[in-house]
Amino acid sequence: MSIAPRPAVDLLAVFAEIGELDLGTSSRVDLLKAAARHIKDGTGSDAVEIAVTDAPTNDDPQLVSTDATIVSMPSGEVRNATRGESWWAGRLQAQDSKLTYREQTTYRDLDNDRGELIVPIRFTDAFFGAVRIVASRDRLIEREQWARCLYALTETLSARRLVAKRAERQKFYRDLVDVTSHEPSETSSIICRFWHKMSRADWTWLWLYNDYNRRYELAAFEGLPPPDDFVPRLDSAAAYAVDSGNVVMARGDFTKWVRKFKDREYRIAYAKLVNSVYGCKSFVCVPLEFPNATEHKRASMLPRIRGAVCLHYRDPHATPQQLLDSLSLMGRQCAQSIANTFLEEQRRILLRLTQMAQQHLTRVSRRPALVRAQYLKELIDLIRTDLQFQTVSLFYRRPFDDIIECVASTAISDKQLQRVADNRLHEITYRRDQGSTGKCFAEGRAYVVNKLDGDDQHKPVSFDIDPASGRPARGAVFCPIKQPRTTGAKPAVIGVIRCGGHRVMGTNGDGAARIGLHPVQVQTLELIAQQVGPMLQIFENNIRREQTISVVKHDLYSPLNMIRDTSERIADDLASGIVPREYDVKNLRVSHVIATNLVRQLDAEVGDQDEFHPEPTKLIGDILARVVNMLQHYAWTDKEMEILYNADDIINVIPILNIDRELIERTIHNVLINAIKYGRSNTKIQITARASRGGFLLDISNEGIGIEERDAKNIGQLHFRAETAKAVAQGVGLGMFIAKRAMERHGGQVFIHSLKDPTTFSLFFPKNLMN
Amino acid sequence: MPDKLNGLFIDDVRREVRLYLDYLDSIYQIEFKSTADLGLKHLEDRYLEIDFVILDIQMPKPKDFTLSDLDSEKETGFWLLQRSRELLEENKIPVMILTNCKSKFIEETLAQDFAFNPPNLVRVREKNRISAKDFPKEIAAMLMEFGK
Repeated sequence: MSIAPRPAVDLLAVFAEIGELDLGTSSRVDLLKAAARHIKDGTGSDAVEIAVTDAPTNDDPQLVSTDATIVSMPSGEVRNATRGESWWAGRLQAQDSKLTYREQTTYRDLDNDRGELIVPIRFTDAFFGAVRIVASRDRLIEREQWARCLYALTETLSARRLVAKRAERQKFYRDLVDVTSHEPSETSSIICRFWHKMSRADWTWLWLYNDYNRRYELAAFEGLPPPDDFVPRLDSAAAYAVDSGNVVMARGDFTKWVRKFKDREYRIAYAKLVNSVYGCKSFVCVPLEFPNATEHKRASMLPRIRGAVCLHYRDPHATPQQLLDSLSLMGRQCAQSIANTFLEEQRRILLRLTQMAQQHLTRVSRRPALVRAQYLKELIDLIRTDLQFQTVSLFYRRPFDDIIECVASTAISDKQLQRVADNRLHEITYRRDQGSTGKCFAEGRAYVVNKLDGDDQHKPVSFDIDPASGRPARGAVFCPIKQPRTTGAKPAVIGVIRCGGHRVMGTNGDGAARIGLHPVQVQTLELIAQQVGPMLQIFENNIRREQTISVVKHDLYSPLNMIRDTSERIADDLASGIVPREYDVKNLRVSHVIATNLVRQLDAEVGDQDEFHPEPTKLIGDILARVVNMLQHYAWTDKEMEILYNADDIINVIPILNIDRELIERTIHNVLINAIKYGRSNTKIQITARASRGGFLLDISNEGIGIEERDAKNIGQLHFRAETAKAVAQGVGLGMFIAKRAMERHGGQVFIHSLKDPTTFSLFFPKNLMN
Repeated sequence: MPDKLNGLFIDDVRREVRLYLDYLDSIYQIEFKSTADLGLKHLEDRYLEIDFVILDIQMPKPKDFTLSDLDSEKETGFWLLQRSRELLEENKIPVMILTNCKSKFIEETLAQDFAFNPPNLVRVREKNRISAKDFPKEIAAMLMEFGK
């Protein structure tokens, strides 16, 4: 008497056992193995095989595949069923990108005792397949019941699996909240680990797009690292995911994978390598993006994350069980978490910068250059430690010259690799477009030169040296320092921050990862540069003010001492009954004039509305004669120079003009003082007049150091002093500035008529001053 | 009558020291140089004949100026002292710094960065504290310390 078949009862026991399985964390293959084993043991079958394939989620031809993963019990074998596989063959057929699936239970006798029952199943919405049971023929009589039971079993598994997945997603999001408590440099690694664990991928790579060098950088990996020279190209699957915002799934023959987005064609790069060498049979790229385009427009300074998590599997059907929408949302959340940690860091840095600004700008010091040096040192330390660079060098424009010079550095060498002492840093300079530093100066945008690029063909002017190893740092980030934005005008670049030897972004335990620069670090650097720009300008002004005060003070002592010594000699002379010398009396008068003019120089703003009082003036009688008379003595005692003019000639040419006497006197005084200061001993200063179509010109000429052509355009600019002038005499670069402003106040101007021997400055008075 | 002692006077503004020169000239043979590099060159060429140096501190920078103080032009005199230090010490040529700067600042720098041997080799006088008339007395006192 045969035993009554009891599949339903047996399978109920299987249900109970399967209830013990941890559906949330087992891999798909493990789960199938467990299910097959339970079915086999629970029903007393000889063999059970489960074939599962992923259902196409759309009509994407790249995802249409008729093969399946098959697990066998009792052998425990896992294999990929291709077209030739005996029992799976024909159950799933592809035609014109459409799949047809045989949803009938089939049965055949294998021999006298055993039969083979094949029951179609669904395993979550994303999979379907079939269960093949080999058992004694009498156990397989109630086929419909078998089918219903197995179907119910897989449905239950599916449902439980979905619940487990939901719980897993919730855990993922919970964990994500904690990410913000970590250092930004660790976030990529942590997030990579989350994905790796959740997706049960064999290996996971997290790529971030670096806007500044327009390439992808490896931010973290789990499992196998990418090959040494591998980064996703801009037309790769990962790039497609990033650009289009779509999750990419690929498997099988990667060479056939093609996508189009905005006129660009994307393919899977390194397909052969990942397939044959790495044994990757399927993978998924999930885009990470925050903020999206709209949010970015609203707040452009938010830390910007663009990248992709790439999950790779040896199992060709191991596409993740999460729905695409869920994956997409998880990607976005991850990007936001990474961004948030950076935002937190940026806040901290900004706060520190504000504190530094307060601390250094409020310091009362007679040596502002020293205060600036201390500020820059702290700034370099901040960048080095918080952004994890080995080297930092700061370049700032040299006034009136189109070059930037080094003002601070962790350590820098010249092109011969000789370390440059701190007091010679200013010798390291860059013109516009000279090397990468000069390029940053010229173009005013931040960018990155990676050590892997090997594209730096120019001969470097300098190298930043890693203080630890003493070797040049490899790779560099260049960030422009700009003038604070003024309405309408494009902000000028006033300096460059150059950082090198960036450290790894995350660690994967073994530390062997070749992990690139985090693009947000560059963004943070830009933020720092934004704060530093105005600081450097304030320091520049402070240094200049201190210099001005110092020079004016120094120069004031000169007439004061002169007054003291001269009056002492006059007193001695009077005591001895000698008539005071004319020379000494002139000394006293000149001292007064010089001192007065020096004090006036402290106020460079000339001709304000309430201080501008034009009145009819004879240039010779009211101004020139007196100024020359005073300075004649000065010129003679200083350099044995003479000041010559022909009063009649000048009177004949220049009529009575409506001018502010004090301003014009200062103008003539300043030009004459310069003529003496920069003139040769024993020469003559000539003052002549000529008429022009629009007015009258007073020419003041000397013979002396002259003016270099390159300096001519800068003469009259605030604080400009030519190198040739600096070598001869001290000064603050105010005399010609004041002269220029004073003449402009009258509608006239000062210009250089002749550069050298004679050097002639012309003061132009427009005709309308006659009215 | 013995030859006058030789002094080298380095100052960028001749007019400013003219009265000092007037008073010194009657006692010493003074060579005046108006830039630091000219002064240094003269010192290096003629150090055997020079008995003392009068030096301004705040002067225009020479071309190969390398002292550290960033943008300041104050320390040109120090640059000269740095360059001529050995020569001054070996030949015991005393230096009188005559300046408009604060002597305290200069003395501090001298003590910190130079520490001349002998310590009285270089001294400082502020122009606004010592008149042209009294200056020769200061020079005489200094030379006496060096047996000149």
